[in-house]
Amino acid sequence: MPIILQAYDDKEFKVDKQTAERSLVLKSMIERAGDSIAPIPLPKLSSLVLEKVIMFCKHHKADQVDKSKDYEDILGPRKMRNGLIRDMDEWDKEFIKVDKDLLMDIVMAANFLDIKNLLDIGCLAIAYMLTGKTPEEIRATFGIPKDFAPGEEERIEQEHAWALRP
Amino acid sequence: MNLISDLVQTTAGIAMDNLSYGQQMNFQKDTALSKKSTMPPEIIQLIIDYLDDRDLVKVLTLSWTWALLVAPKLWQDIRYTANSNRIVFLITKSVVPQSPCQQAPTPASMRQSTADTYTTSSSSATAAQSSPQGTVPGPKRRNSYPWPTLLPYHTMVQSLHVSLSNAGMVQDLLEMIPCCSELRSFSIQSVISTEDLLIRGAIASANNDLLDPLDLTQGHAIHPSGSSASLASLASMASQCSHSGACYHSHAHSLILDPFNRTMTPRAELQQADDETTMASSTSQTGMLLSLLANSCSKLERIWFSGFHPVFVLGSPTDLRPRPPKFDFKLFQDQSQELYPSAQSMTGVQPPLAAIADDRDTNARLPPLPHTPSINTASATTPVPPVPGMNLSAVTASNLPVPVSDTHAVSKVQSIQFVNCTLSPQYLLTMIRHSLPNLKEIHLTQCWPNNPLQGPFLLSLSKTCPGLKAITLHGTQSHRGIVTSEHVLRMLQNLEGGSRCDSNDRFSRTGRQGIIRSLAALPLGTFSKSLYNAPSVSSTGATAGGSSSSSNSNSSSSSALVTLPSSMSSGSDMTNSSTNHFYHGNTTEQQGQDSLDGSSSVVTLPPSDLEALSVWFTHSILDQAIVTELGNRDRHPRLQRVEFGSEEAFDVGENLIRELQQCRPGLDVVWTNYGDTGDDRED
Repeated sequence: MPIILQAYDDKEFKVDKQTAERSLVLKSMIERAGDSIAPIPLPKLSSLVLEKVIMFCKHHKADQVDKSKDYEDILGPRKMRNGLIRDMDEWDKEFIKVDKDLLMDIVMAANFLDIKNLLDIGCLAIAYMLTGKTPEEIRATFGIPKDFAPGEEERIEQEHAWALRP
Repeated sequence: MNLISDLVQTTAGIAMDNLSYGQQMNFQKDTALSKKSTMPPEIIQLIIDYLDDRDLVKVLTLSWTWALLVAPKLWQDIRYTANSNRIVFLITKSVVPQSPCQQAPTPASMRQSTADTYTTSSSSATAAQSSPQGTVPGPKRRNSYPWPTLLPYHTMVQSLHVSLSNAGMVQDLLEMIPCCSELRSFSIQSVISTEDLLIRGAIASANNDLLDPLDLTQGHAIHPSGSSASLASLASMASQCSHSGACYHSHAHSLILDPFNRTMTPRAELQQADDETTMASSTSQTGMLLSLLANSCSKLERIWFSGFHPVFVLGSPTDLRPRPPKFDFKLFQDQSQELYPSAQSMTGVQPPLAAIADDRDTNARLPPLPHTPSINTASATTPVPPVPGMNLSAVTASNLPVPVSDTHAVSKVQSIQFVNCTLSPQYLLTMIRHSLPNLKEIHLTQCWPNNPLQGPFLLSLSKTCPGLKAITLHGTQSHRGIVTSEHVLRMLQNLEGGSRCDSNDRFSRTGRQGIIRSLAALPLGTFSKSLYNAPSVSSTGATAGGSSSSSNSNSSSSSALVTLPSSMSSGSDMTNSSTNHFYHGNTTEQQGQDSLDGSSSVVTLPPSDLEALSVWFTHSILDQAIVTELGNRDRHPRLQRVEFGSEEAFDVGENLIRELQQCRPGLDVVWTNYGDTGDDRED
């Protein structure tokens, strides 16, 4: 029985149960809804984003759900990046090659729908976008407002100057 | 449909709450993030997990949200070296700004975020924010750094790596450790002479006895006290030494206890001191680093020491036990006499200095005593055999029934490593028994060149802590003939499931199950000479013993022995004691006795928890029996890595380890032969 997902622009996507259950939020909804065939409205997701998310879930529907968790347990969060990169297949690398706005939306959607693998890959991609940029460039790229009081930014910089020493 | 809609709304609502401080999440393309940041903290947290320190410093100043999330990443792993005075300051003086001029004009949502992020802040941080008048006392500042810090860095440090390059760092360390309440891992390496640390450490430790590291009213400075007998004795001896010219060494130290001139107490200066004299004088030493770590860092899991003499620098082994927060020695004495009138009097036993200090607090109370003596009282009061040189008061005190106390935090230390330390086996065994109930990993590398790693020690170790998961034994040339294949084999055979290392069963190590549930209930020093003013082996050794660096190690070993029952004073006796007194397991005990008789048991043992084994000696250790033991999946089902090495040019171990790999294909085996061909050897 297909599951119907409805984006905010009323566009509907039919997915199989296994694909939908890659999202723990949808999985919970499906379990509680029982045999209901009504579409599941996702009013915060655009059809473009939802389509990408479904694409990812279809590709990974047979994966072990808690794979990332295993990495975290074994390697720790810092080393997890290397594990993810090593284990990320070519399909994922191509999938995540999107513009930054869509990437952010995908990450938000993954966070909302609780799709851990997609969230990890998305955050990893964002991290690589940050690498090598100056703070001003990052602010401009991601529209991060500076909310420090006068002098605070300098103080924080001074208090962490040691981190830049070899 | 309604149900699904409700679920969607509910879930979305929760997600909204969690996302971004009331900001609406918007996935539409036209509300791009480039226009307004909607990145929620949990996503920022995931992103910064993938950044290295260089990038973290860049994103630190993006916004308050980023600063609050990135700073703990930068501070969780601190390497403290000689040039890290600023780090010491930042850790010890980190406060959350409270005054209007200091308060960050963060949005209300961000302040909430701050509170959420640092809910685990230490008591020091809490106390710093909650003075009676609602104001915060101004942070003590060093002249070179004239502002308070913005963030509570002291709660962020989880791993502290110290490389001691000068004696003054000890003092900084004593300031720093009490602040690191969230510390998980501590490592310390010394690249300076032990004598420097000894002198510095003895003085600071003597004064530190009176310092409650959690008492913020005292600050974190080390307060020298004129009432310290050991300090006076130390100065006196040092003076005599310098005038009489009787020093064997020519150390020229000028020590000032208060290098930052923050206290009004007089300075103690020591121009010259012999290290042996210093040892003898430090009878009040209760341990500095270990004591501080035990009291201040309840989450500590890993300890790593390298390159110095830990006994006299760090204190007696029992000091790693967490102390009761408020200990009233007089009340303890009174209640002991009421409950156990027949028990030997503690007359002549001086209360530990920590207890004296706590006596100033009239509200201090003893941890609860047992309401009814256990039926095993007889075993609990079994006298400890006398140790030559051990003061009688300590023996007397050790014979008293010990009250049960559940108020002590159990040490969470799971891993301990010593590298190139002149440490006695007795010290280590005592520390494991009394202070490290959750020990799972032990790594001993090139330890004890003058007091080598002994075969009986391995047996005692495996009986004391049969649930070890990782064992590293890297010996030196001096261990040749002292540690044999049979010792290693029996150690492996003694390992079994780790239930006995669990905190619930931690007291079984004392061999006094049901009675002495926590030795921490005893006044500190019951098994230690250090807290009593009676003559000790240490002082005797100082007058009669030599003063070379080698005798330094020897005397330290003999001093450590006085902390133990006499049955621990020799290698062979140590094995017996561990079997008969200290570990009362069932099958393991039986097997231990069997192995002592030379007949290995056939008793079916539960599977061990062993996961990794690394054994390097200059001589060959790996033999067929060890291969058979390690190849037994039923005995060691969790074994993942086995590493052996030797210096023998034609060691058969290389073939044997291949055999082990064939026996257990999934096992990660390593063989290292780091010796030469043997052609140019004289022997």
